[in-house]
Amino acid sequence: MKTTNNNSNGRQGRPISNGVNKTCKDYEMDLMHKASGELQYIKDKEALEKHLKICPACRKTLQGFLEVDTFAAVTREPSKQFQDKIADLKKRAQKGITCLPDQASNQTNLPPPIDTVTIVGTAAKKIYECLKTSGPLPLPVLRQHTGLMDYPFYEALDRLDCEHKVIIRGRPDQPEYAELRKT
Amino acid sequence: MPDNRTDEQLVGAYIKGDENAFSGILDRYQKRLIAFIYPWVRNYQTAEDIAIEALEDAWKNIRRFDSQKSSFKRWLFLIANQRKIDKLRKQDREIKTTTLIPEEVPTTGDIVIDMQEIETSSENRVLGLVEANNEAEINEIKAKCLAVLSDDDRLLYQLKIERELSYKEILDYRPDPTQAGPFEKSNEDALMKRLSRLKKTLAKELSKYLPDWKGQAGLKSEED
Repeated sequence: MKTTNNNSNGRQGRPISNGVNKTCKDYEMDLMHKASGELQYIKDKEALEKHLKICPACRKTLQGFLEVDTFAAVTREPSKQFQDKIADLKKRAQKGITCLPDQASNQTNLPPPIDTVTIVGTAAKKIYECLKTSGPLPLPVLRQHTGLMDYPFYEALDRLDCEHKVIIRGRPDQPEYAELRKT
Repeated sequence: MPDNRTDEQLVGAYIKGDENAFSGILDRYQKRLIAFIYPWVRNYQTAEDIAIEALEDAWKNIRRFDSQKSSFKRWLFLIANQRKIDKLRKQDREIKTTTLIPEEVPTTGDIVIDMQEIETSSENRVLGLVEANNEAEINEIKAKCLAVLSDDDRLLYQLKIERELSYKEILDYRPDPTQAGPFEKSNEDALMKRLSRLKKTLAKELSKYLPDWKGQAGLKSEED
């Protein structure tokens, strides 16, 4: 059983949680490291995750840190290496479109993005609707229900996973079940 | 000089032989693509790599762009999205194995949280700000946010967040080799605490400009 002393803004005073005495203040640096992806500095990841689940004030602090990091990333100047690559691409582009391979001979280079997106997007919609109707399903059953081939089934599933719309359970190398992520 | 033609006009001109037209596209989208990709990969260099790959893919496949099917911006971002997903797929994603909630986690208060949701909402707010303002306005917002920091904190922000130096490198940092560095007497723990305070201050300042879910973003919000 967990006991916490919450004040009016949801911030915890001195919680007694499974023998761990830590306040929100104690988690602040861990939250900063979590936001910036420096997970190696977090001393007890499990305790942090548990605390986040029960503490709205720390979730707000985490959100603030994430906003600062994202804003910093989008406002900083790209690296010299990136600028060199852009300059190189500009130079190649200035040679004109005639330097590009013909559309016909370029078929294996990259599929037309819009088509691939449409195919995978349609498959993702089928998977999403199927999971919505049937609930969590083993992957072979899900594939059978949707009637999809290997491609685009796994591609679409992967995309839904990346977009945090589904949860895939099981080992990473052997996914077993899929279910919709609750919002 | 920024090119005032629309994306589609630039692409059309490029295909018809205006060799400089694609440079306009590159200038217009390089930072926006990084901004779009970064929140997902949380590594600036990776975001740059994906952005350049997406721009190169767009250039190589420019003949396939069909303005009847989608806008150029959507087409380009779809390419970047594909590249981003390819990259994420290659990474060992914790999400597949860590989404099971341990039984001992208390469920009192009926709080249902989703970490991805928190992250996505933060990023959406920042991207909303970037989309709603031009580069000069964004730089102005950045300057206003940084203005609330002390000189040393601003330096720490530049070294840690913009130049991505390690804590040890910051402790050893000496702008003038003949003089002691600004953080020389500090230590890693103290730097982390200082950075955490600094980011909290910045978050508070930045929130003045970030959009709410329905509102407008940016400098206008200051006038309200």
